[in-house]
Order: sequence, then structure tokens, then C-alpha cells
Amino acid sequence: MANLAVVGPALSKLELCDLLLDAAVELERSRSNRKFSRKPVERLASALSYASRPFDAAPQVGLIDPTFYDSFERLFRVQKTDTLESIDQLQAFVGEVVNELRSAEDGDVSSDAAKKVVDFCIGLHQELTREIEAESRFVIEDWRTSDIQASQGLG
Amino acid sequence: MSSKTGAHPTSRLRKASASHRLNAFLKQIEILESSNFPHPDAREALGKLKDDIKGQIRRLSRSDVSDEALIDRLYAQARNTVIEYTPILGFILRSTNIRNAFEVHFPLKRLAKQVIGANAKLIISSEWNFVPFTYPMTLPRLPQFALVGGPASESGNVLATPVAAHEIGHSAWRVHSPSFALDNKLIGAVDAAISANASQTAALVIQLGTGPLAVPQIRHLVFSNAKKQLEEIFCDAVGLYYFGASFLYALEYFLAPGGGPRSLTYPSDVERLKLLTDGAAALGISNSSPLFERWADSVAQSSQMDFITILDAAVAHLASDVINHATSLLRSRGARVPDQTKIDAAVRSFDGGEPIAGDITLGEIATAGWEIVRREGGLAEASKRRKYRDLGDLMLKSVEVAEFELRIARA
Repeated sequence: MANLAVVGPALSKLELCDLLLDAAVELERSRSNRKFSRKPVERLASALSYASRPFDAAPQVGLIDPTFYDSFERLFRVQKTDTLESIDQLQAFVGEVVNELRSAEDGDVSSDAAKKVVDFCIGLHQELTREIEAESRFVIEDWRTSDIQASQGLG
Repeated sequence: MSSKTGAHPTSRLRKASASHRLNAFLKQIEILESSNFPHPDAREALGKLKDDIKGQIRRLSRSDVSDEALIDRLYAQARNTVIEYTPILGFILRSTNIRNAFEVHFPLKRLAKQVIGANAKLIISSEWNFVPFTYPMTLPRLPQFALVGGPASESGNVLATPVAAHEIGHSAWRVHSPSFALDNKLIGAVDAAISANASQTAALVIQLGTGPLAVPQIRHLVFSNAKKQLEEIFCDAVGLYYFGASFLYALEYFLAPGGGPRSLTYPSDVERLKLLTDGAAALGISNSSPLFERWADSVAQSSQMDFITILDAAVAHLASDVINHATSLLRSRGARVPDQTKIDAAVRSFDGGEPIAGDITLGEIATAGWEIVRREGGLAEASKRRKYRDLGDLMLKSVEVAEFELRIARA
């Protein structure tokens, strides 16, 4: 569904949400031996590589793109048993999924591995959705629930 | 479980709900498409939203009810899409309302094209919301669109239009900020701010209680909020450049006397006004007194003070850079800061009861209008309200004449 010609600086949480669902639907189809499209899988691999890259600005400190840091971190805590102690662990966590996606693109992925990726997609979608919902997406202020003045400032 | 629902009854119903909600929304878009739009951009926005909904319906049809967890997420996505797009549809519908000053669309669209790019789209609408222009942020599905909303009561008021430039600035930021190579400098500024405020950092580390991850988290939070603050500074710089003193007067009109709670994504009120007045001086923009007098600074929550100290220090490193980027961008694209000679000529015309003709920008027209209003002490007395209304009409007529002359010259 998402048609992300170039995964790059404009990748948003909403776009990543779409890519996750596109890929998950196709991977589930492949698991049940239905005709499936590889394109969404390829797009997601590319998007995740981008989203988890050592941040362009400061590779020396390994900071993940701030747009996606919180979601990756929460998902790690949900899906992994290790204690999260460094950003490198987050990058490795996402990197494993990217590798599986690359294998799936080549038609070389077991049903179990595909299931693992689908679970990742579902989990990350849930985290991103939670974040999108928490942010005020369109109307910045809501006079019924928040202080009025804090939002004043012309958008 | 009813026998009719078969296996996976919840998924089956949830998938059906998603399908109904998306199709109902699609239908609503199609109804709106039959409206009369004064400008084509709104119709194009509807087309893009429609494509997205159709894509979701296609994706839903490829899913199987046995994939229960996935069906739940597909439903959540459909639900959130409808939640997200519903106010946009309302915005687009209200853009057709005749209370809007359709005349200002053309000059504002030109500004949008200048700062965003040739593909820029603009939708102006009136809102039932007391805070002006709260529909700003660029929407992922409509990246080239600037949505500018003003409170319904101000929709026909040309004096309020300067703040629209701030909103257009948000779309410009999305397009241009990567080329500013700001991130690298901002990380440096964040680190410098953390180092320079060691006691605040130590207090935050304790507050977070996340051990070795605390400092990266602080850096992440400072970085994210600082970037949003810099975006607001950029948008103010766009407004100031294009509308000159009228941008400052419009801010005073909408936001005085300050003193509200501090937002992490804006500079403090006092800092924001200082950046604006310094920026005006640097651009040679003159403004009349009184301006921003008795303005109370925004008040931070005590629990956020340590964080704000670091955040503001990081932003301070780069505020001037961002303002310079905005200025260079607009200058390179042929926008001009309001010219005082032209403003004076417009004031003379308006004083004589005539619209101004010739090469004049919306910023110059708005500034001339504000100069008269301010010179006359606000024009709010019962005996002067007629003059205030007439002035608005003269300004709108001037916008129309300028547009007409521009088109004739280009023909």
C-alpha cells in the first residue's frame, strides 16, 4: 500500500506503520503458501535499515534516529529477554529483522523466521501507533484536556 | 460463537468493521469531491487521501482472518486513519466557505511556492478554534501541502494573514531542513549543553533512573525538542522576512500578553520575542512602539527546569544559524522584505480612501494596514469601526489589484 519511492529523510512514523503492515500481510500470505508480493518486504527492509541507522549526525555515539528510538526501545523490552544497556543492542535487534527480511525477499526464509518478523512488525506497529496517538497529530491543543496557554504560539 | 461467523469470529467482525469504516470514509471523500472549490489544491488533497484509503482497503482484502494479531493492527490503522483524516476533511470542506478571504490565496500560494517549491499546495480555511492557525504541521500523506487555518471570526481579516507565513514555514522546514545539515551541529550543541550543565544533567540522570541509558535518553529528548524549537524559530523567521513588521504586530494581536505555561517545543516567550526583534533589526525592518510591552515570560513547570536549562542552551547555539538559513533561502528565491517606501505609499493611498496599485506585496499591504490601525490607537471606538472595516476592504481590494496587475504583466 505504501509507495515509498525513496526511503530517506522524509520517513515518518505513519509511513513506517504502513510499511510494517504491508510487509506483514505479504509475509503471512507467504507462510500460508498464498501468492505474495516481495516488494513490500523489500521496502520495509530498506525503511528499517534507515530508521535504525547510526544517526547520520553522530555515528561516533551510535544514537538512533530520534524519531524511532522510543518505539524500538520499548519493543526491545517487550520482545527480548536481555537487559538493554546500549544503543548497539537496539541496532542489532533491528538488524536481525532486516536480515530476515532480506532473506524473505530472496524467497529464502523459513515459516518460523517469517513468523518472527511478522511478530516484530505487529509489535513495532503497536508501539508506533501508541506514540502517534500520544502526540497531538493535527490539533495541537485541546482545551478540554490540556492547559490552554501552553499550546498558544501559532502552531 | 454463532455458526454464521465461523472460525475466528472476532477477526472476522473486526475486519468487516475496518472495511466498513474505510469504505464509509471513501464515500465521504467522494461526496466532498463534488463541492465547488475556489482553488484546485483542496481537490488534489482529497485525491491523495482517497488513494491512501483505497490502498488500505486493498491491503485489508489481502489479509486472512486467521492472522488475528495482524487483523487487529489493520483495524487500528484504519481507525487511526479515519481519526486523523476526519478533521482534514472538515478543514477542506470549510475552505470552500465564503467567509474566507479568497483574495489572499494567490499571494500566499506564491510565497508557498517560493519557500517550499514549485509543487507547493495551499489550503486556507476558517476554523472554529480560538487559537489562531493551529492546523499547521505537515501531514505525511500531504507533504507538499500547507494547511493554513485561522479562527472563523478572523477569516476575512487581512491584518491576521501575516501569521499564515509561519504555517507555510512548517512545510518549508520539512522540505529544506535536511539541506541545512543541522543535525550534526545540533548533536554538538546538545553535547555542549549537557557538559556545560553538569549538575542539571546529574539530577536528570537520577530522575530517569535508567542507569547507563539515561544520558543517551537525555540527549535524545533534548535533540528532539530542540529541533522542534528550531523549526518554530525558522517559521517565525519566514513570517518576519515576508511580512516584516506586520508579522510582529499580528503576533502581538494574537498572543499578548504572554505569561502562559512554557512549552518544550517553543522557545520561551521572552526569547522568542528577542529573536524576532533582533531579526527585524538585522533585516532593517522598522516597527512602531509600543510593541511587546508588559509581556510576561512563559512559565516552566519546576519539575522540568533542569531539562529546560539544557534544552535552551542547546537551542541558543543554533538559533541564529536557523534564522540565517531562512533568510538566505527566501532571498535566494526572490522574496523581498517589505519595502518601507512601498508601505508609505500604501498608507497614503489607504488614507485617501483608495486601494494601492502597482508592484506591492501582501506583506507591504498588511504592514501599511497595521501602521494605520496602530497610528489611530486601534480603531476600536464605535466612531472608528467604519474606518476599520473600510481599511480591511481597501487592503483586500489592493491584494486583488496587485494580483490582477501581476497577471497582466505576465500575460
